[in-house]
Amino acid sequence: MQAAEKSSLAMRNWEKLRRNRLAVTGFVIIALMSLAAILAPLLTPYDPGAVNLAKRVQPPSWAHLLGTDKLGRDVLARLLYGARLSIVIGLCSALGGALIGTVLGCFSGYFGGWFDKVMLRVSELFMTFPQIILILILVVFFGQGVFNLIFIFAITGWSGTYRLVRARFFSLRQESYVEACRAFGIGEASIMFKHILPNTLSPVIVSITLMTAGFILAESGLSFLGLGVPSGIPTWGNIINAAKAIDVIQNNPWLWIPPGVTISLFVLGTNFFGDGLRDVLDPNQ
Amino acid sequence: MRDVFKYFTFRFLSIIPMLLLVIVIIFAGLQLTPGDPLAYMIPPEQLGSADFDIEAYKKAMGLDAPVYIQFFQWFGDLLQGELGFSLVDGSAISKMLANRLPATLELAFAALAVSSVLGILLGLVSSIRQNSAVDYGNTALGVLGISVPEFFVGIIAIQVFAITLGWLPVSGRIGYGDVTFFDRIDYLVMPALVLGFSLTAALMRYTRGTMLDVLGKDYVKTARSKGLPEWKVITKHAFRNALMPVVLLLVFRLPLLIGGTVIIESVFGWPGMGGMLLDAVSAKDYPVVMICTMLVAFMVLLASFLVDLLTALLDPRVRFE
Repeated sequence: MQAAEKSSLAMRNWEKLRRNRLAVTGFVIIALMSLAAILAPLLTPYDPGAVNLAKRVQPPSWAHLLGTDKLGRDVLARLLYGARLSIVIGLCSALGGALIGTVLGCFSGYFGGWFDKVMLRVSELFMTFPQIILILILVVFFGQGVFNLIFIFAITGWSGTYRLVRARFFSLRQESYVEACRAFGIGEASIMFKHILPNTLSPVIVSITLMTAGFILAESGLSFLGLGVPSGIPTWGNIINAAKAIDVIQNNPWLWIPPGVTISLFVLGTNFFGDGLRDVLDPNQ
Repeated sequence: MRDVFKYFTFRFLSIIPMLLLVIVIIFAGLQLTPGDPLAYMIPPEQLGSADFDIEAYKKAMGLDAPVYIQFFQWFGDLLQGELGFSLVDGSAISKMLANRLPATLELAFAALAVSSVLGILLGLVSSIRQNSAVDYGNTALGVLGISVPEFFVGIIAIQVFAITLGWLPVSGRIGYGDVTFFDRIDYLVMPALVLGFSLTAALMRYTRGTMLDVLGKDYVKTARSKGLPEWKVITKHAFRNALMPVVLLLVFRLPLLIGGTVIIESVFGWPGMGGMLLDAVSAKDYPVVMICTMLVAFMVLLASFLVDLLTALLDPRVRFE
């Protein structure tokens, strides 16, 4: 009985999502680009790190569809392999931030009290302080690197999810089914994580999607400044980093237009998908 | 009226504990960072001279004193504008800031002015002509504003307006022979527009949303049905009420604008605080990083104070208690 209802709700949501044109467009963009990243070795014969000084800064040709960069590396190969890291950084940071936010939000919303007051203040601080400056400061202390970056993104990006989850817990903890759970003698932890948490997950899923877009932008900005992922590793931001020089902007458009368009397109797709998801899962927002 | 004054004084005073907290955090950060604090407290030429007695100096400066006494000394210096010295080239941080801060403020205020006027205007047009070509164009612009990285917008702008068309200078802040602000305004146009791009998009979406909300309200229908001309309904009845949330969003996003200057200054070679912070981060110049952070934190606090102030002034329902 319960299973049937569950599947029909899931089916209904799936139908709604399928009919939402923006969400479908977004999903197709994300899926195609992720697939291209996964299948990178099949799509390009080049190694993204292979330096070929004889073929430096070549314009697009049949051999190199998007040309080569200052070290003779194939731009298309770097874009495809770079997609792997950029997407993984964006997604892992969003998941990490959402995890921190959800756990803190659970405790804060369920128990209230001084912990809630302090955490609310702290989250306000994180929300109002410009994130890029906070990230820069942390980069000074932790150093550059893929894992450091994910860690820094996660600990600076939890406040939005925290507030969402906290607000839901605040209203849900007064529901009669929670009272019933208590009356049955179910433990607090079990009530929190097994009975209330599942009801807060749909806005969290939406915020993970939108956060992924934000972190991909943040990574590209930081790498563009030369302070993100170490410059030898291909990510979308590191590829467009070449365009910090005016002569590259002027003479070698293939070095900055493809990565710029790629980042914009992926973030656009993620935002579309996230907005569509919100319409379906969270109609009252 | 006296209530209003009392409320603002109270709100303003309540910032002070937060300011102190920020200052304590910055001091702790400076204490915890690696490196000898002497290196950024003494001008390097003095530190380098042969007859300089470091132990005596430490004693004289109170560096052998307990941490809390050191804190008060540092705090006293801070109040007098002594911000310490850079680890990299030994220049006084106060002097560096005096050179760099005006440029950043100029850029941020220009971006703020342009994007608030442009964003609210476009949003207004979109809401009045809902589902028209203009509205769709604006919606597309709004989506691009949150999806395209600002440095990419900047690079495209340089390619189009500076290199291809040659209308505007590629980078920098002051040209040869420029004297007044208006001489060098051509340098400001691109960075300000690009920095304000995402804020413009956000404001536009938001203005459109709140305007559509208000235009559906009963009092707007009443105003229309009593025969007021449409422009009067829109400006006097709808826009006034739609404006408040928009202004709040605007002030709320001020810190973001300050953060955005870091990237935009790098794209356009704008000689502001963002570049200074960036250099300091790459060189692990802790004192400079910390002082910049402190400044940004002050700006954030100021912005949050402004939010309260504007809410109180714009919304008569806010009580002054």
